[in-house]
Amino acid sequence: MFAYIVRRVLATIPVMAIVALFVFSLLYIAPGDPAAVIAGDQATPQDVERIRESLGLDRPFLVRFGEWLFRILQGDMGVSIFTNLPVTTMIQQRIEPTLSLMVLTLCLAVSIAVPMGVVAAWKQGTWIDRAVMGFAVLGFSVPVFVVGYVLAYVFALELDWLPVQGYTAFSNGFFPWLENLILPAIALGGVYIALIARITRATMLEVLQQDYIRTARAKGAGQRSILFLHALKNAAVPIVTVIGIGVALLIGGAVVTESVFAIPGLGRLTVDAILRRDYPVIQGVILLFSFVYVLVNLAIDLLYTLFDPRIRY
Amino acid sequence: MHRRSLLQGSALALAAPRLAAAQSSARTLRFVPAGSLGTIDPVAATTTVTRNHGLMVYDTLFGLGKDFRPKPQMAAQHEVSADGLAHSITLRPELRFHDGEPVRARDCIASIARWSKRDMLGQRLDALLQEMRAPADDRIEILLKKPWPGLAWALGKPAANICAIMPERLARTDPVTPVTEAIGSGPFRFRQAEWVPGSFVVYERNTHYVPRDEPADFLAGGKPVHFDRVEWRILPDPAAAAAALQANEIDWWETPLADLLPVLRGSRDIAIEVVNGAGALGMLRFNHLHPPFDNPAVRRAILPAIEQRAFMAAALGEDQAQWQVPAGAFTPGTPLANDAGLEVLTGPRDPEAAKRALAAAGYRNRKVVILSPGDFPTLGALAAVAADTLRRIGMNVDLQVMDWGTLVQRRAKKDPPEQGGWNIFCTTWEGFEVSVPGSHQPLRGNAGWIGWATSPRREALREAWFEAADLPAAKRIAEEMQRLVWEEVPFVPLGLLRPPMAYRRSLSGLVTGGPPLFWGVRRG
Repeated sequence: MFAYIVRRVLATIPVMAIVALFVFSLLYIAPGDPAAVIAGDQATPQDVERIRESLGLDRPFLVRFGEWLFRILQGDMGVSIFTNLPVTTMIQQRIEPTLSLMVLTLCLAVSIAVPMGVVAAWKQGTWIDRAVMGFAVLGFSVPVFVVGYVLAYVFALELDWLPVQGYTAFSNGFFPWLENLILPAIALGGVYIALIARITRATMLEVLQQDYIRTARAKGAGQRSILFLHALKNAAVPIVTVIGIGVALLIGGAVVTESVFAIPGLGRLTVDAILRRDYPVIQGVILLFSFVYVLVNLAIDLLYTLFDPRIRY
Repeated sequence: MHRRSLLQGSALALAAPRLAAAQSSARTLRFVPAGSLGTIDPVAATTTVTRNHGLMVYDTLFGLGKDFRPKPQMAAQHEVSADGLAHSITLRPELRFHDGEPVRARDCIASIARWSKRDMLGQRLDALLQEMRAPADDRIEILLKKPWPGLAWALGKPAANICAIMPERLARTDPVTPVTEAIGSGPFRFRQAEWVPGSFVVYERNTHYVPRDEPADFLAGGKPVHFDRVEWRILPDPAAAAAALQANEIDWWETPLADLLPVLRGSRDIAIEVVNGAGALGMLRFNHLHPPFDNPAVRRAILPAIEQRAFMAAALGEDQAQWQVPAGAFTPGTPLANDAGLEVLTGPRDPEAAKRALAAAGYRNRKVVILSPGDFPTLGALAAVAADTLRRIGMNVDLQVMDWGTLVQRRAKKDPPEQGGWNIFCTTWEGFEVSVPGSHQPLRGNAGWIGWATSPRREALREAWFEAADLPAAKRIAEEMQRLVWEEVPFVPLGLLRPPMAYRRSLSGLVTGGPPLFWGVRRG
């Protein structure tokens, strides 16, 4: 097992190298010029050229890529073209809100979606099943920003129960933290709940037909025990896989959710950096997202062994 | 624990943070700026957000009053020699930088020198400068090769780049390289440690700042601060900003979206007001390098079809309090605004005449590329009306929508339109900047700015304006320049945009005249 983990961690190095080359090349050929954005609307082409030179943007591709890669290997992601702040500092400032949003959404989604899927499978063909599936279709169909605006309108503006926007750090207390994040987490979690609920239902339906479930029933096991102890554990592998895949969904959705609820997270940092062509920040954030995704996949692979002892690495 | 006690405890736990926030917000002004603060150096950067930041943190030697005339701000006295060549500026005695150091003449000289490499009017000073010296810690002498009556205006102008006075050690930074510390002597300190770029900017009251003992008069006069802390909260989503203002989570929103104004007007707690009377002049800029707009006859031909009202309505809606037409070459409402030859835009609109003039000028259906920024709704609306106007008079228009980052790179290209270049883009210029010929970039004829227009006559008139002895003389030159604009058409003015700001009625004393200013304003 340990050897497997080491192998997988080492395998992230070429993956990250390919991502780095891809991101750098893509930004190099993409239209847009940070020097022109910095210089402003009223700058002359001479001003823009001077700024471009001062930023080193006039140097050849390979030179810039080589320098960037060398710095990355030393753990230095560079400095933002616009703010002059280190990219690592900017990421540190933004990582807590995004992480909080993703973790809360994940907890919320799993704790709602899995029981929903289990119950839907158990009550297959009944109105409960249809209601769960109807909710799943709705969750897939309604965009995150629409859900976000509706929630903000109802719970923040009309009822005045929760704030419209912003983020309060966890260090300022659990309730203020939760107060700011609960609406964004519900908005972001809609698709995720729908996805997990559907997969859980489908997998559970298959498992509930198995002989060992019939045996358990024949032995007089209770319904709850059958559903959650015997069936769900055996249905867990595909569910956990989907939860892992869904992390990518969450990263994408966080960009929109953070804009709607003005959460100062990595999603907004990414959008701002792209619009201003702040290359070092874009590269840093994408590398980070890629790394997180690779790690999540590794964690999922390891979790398989917990749920299915037949899986060995 | 009883059920009722548990519920009461939970309710208190939930309400406590909001009560605490309400108490602290009484001394905190929560403001939503037009955009994100990217660079903290108002000399290196030209963006209005950075300029607004600069006006909080830095002081200037002079400041414009609401009458657009410069008045001493950091200066206690300003004397000009009889021949107009020597300016002597004495500093107020109580000036201190945020790091505790006193403001000395050598700090001012280094700051002026840096600004003079970056700003248009500063470059004028650079060209005229014979010597700057500091005979005493509180006295600056500026010796010129030629008289320049507009020097105080230039040193106190509110448009980017402002002549921000900073410590000498920072002012020695290369002019295009932004300084990394925001140390000024203005009424607010920048809390760099709390700055989250793109999200949150914090300023605190500079307790050592001594305002002039005069009423606030735009950038002149006293700058009394009534809040301990000003927080800029960057909310890129207009719906979120509108909701936050309604929910009393913010106090002041600089640029409410025109579409959301009816909703905000519906709240009795919210005021909508045009704070920046100088606004921004909308304009359509031609690329003078390539056909068809390399031909002045083609540029002139479209004038009878230009309907300024349509441009303004598309950009800001039908409420005429938010815009002003007609607009000539200079910002309406400022001293040099005039109506010389303005009938080309105010007379009856005649697209048929425009078509005939186009044909006579030799236009033969050549494609016209108009660049439009999809992420700037106001500029996008101006570009859309421009495209429609030109199509109506028979031009073959290719309206290309892109994001701002792409547009600013694209418009810098001198290539022909069919090879990635362009013919037209629409923009806005801050009213202060285009109120005088000296800083009126689109009016220039030196091929310096995007569009690369050349005109020795306009350059000669600009030169004459610098030497104009008094306002009547300056006005005569401005009229002549405006007539020349209708003849050479370096750009087409589209109207003055004066978008309102929205704020909670719990605020009072907002200083009007220009960009959002944070002195004078108080709660209650």
